[in-house]
Amino acid sequence: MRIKNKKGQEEMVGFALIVIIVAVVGVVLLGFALRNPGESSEASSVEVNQFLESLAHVTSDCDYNSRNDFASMEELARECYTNPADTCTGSEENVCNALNESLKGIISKGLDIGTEKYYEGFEMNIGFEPKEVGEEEVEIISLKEGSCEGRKVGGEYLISSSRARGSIAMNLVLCLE
Amino acid sequence: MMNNKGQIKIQEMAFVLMAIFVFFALVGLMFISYRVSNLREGSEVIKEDATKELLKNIANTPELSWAGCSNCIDLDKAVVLNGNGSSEEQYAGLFGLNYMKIERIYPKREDGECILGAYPRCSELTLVDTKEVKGTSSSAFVALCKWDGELNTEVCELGRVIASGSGLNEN
Repeated sequence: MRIKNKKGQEEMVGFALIVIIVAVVGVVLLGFALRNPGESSEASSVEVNQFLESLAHVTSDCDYNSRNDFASMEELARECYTNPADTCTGSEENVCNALNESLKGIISKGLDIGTEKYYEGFEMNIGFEPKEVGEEEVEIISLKEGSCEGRKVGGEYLISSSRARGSIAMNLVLCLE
Repeated sequence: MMNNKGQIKIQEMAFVLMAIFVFFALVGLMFISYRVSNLREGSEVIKEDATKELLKNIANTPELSWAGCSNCIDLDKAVVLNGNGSSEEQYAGLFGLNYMKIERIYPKREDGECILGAYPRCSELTLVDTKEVKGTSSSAFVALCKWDGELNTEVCELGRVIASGSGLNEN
């Protein structure tokens, strides 16, 4: 009777061992899958970087210094940060509004964004990034359209600020299905 | 009788060992196929990025570049090149391309090819078109700049270079 019990115990220990080994392998695989860049992480994209670099040079409809010299998007972002109350000559539109509207137009024409399209949505942020640690970042423009739950690709373009305490960063994130 | 029991035990053990071995082999195969598909995807992305950088370099050639900007094309130069019939063969040979087009994206322009008579009321410039099989084309965003005589200032717009050919697939 004792020998029979002992044998049964040995079988159970063997079975438990196998279950433990399988569980350990499962946990290792699960850990590996979770450690990989997940669905919501953002990959840097050459296309987005090139788009931002080109966008920064595009001439807007806003001439804020009355010299018949229409500002580029880069200059408009700098002006929106340094003198946000400035207006465009002729139209009296605020420089930040002009920047906002031009960005929307360029993104909608330049990128294939919308439901059932290659990109489902986008998030664009323009902000001042200070050089000094401890200084606060300042948001200049923030645009968002569509849903941004899946895989993301993004890029950044830096504009030197006239105040030389940091730079203005244009960040664009495109959301895939 | 005892021997028979021992044999059954050995058989049981052998089956369990085989099951564990098959289990680990399957897990290993799954892991390897997952890694290989990730690597393949990564290599495609790297190849595509390299092609886009190459396209940007084409935009920086003296025949097309706009001074003081690394990502800008001189639209006036491109229109003149488009009007010059011999440029198609020259560019096809120089860059190893069988197709190259510049599209004006923003602001929106009237549809049509940018030749000297139609410019600036046009939307695209086909610099190279050898009429051969085009293959997979790649595109890169650029700024298209020109001197505006009326405003007496430079004006840039958003554009895209689209190209295909062996010259883009050598990386």
